[in-house]
Amino acid sequence: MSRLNKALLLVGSPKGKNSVSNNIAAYIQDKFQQNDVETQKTFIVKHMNKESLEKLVNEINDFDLLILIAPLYVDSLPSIVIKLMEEVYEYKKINNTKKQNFMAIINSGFPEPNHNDLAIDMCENFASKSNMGWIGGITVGMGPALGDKPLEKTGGLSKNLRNGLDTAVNALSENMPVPKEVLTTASKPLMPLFLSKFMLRWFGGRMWTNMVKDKHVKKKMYYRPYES
Amino acid sequence: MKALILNGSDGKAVLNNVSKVLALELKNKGLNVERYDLSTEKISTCIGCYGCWLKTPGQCIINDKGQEIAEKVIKSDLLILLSPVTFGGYSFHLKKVIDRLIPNILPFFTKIDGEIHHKPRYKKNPKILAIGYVPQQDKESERVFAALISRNAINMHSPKNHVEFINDEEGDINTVKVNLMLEKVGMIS
Repeated sequence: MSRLNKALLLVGSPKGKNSVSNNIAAYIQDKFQQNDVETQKTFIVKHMNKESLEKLVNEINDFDLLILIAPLYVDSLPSIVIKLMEEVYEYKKINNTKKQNFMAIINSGFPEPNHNDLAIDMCENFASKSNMGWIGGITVGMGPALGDKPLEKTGGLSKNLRNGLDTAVNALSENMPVPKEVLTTASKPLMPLFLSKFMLRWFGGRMWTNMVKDKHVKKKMYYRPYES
Repeated sequence: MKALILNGSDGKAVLNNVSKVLALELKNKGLNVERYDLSTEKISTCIGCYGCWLKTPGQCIINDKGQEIAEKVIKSDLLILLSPVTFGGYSFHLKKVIDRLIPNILPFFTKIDGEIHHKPRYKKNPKILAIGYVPQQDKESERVFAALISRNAINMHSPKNHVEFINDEEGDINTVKVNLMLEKVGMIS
């Protein structure tokens, strides 16, 4: 069987480089490159003007595998990701494009990975409607706990995620299917759920408060500017 | 009472017609109605800066219609979302605005039915009626869209929500159907 030729990693975070999505994408890119698979990474947010988006949609056709790595926004995909999907779908409707495979990795700050399930469902729906092979989805909860360190430096927290991604990348590099249990392993919570839920509920507030530098703003965090 | 209609259609006649019929019917019932055809509005996408939580609490730092709509949403009793069902979710035009509603919730956390969610910023949040346009029946897309509205209703702390689907076969929406929808979302008895 032939090996994977070219992979494109689509980082769907509106924050671009400074995002958990990019950290995960960088790890995947490194793994593919170790397997001698030509891999490019692009930030969807940088293609939101008409010409750049059109160029990206055209170029997407060169790749055999597309992997979306994006954060959860209000229970689904960020609007910039939806925009790209709409354009790709329309492009494929009218152009004769090659068969491609699609995979999605969705991360959020909530501890329970199932918050991301609908976003994964939407990715699968997009793949199906765009006549792409669906590899599957990985869901990552408590994404910000990974910080801004490279994934390989986050130790035990990302062990399951890294193990799952390693196996998935190896399979994809050989154009082999990715077993469901691999995606399940990668989607395991970063820490026991009871612990992450406890920490977020009782200490999550302090985490946000500590991020505010201005003491006047700190006092107004519960402000209701639109209250009648 | 106030109703706000956010039309995420990109020129789809069916949804534009629904928007007009809904607005007329709600006005007939004495509601104050505002409508936005989102494809004609210049609204920035959310940039994920957390400014609405950490710099200008409750208000997006981008001063455009997105900010204005967030205010109108929270001041409404009924929020009506119209959208072509796009891979099971909202269209780009509508999702842009939905993302810009993040200022209306707090960064702090609470537990709802055993799950962690963000706390509401306001005591009162609007009911949600979502109408999804699917050209032909698409059970999977409808399933995902309906589930999305339920999840959004939890995160927007909406007291009641209802989803309807319309397609090309059903043609024009009528007053009877509109009244049924309003009844299901608890706006009329």
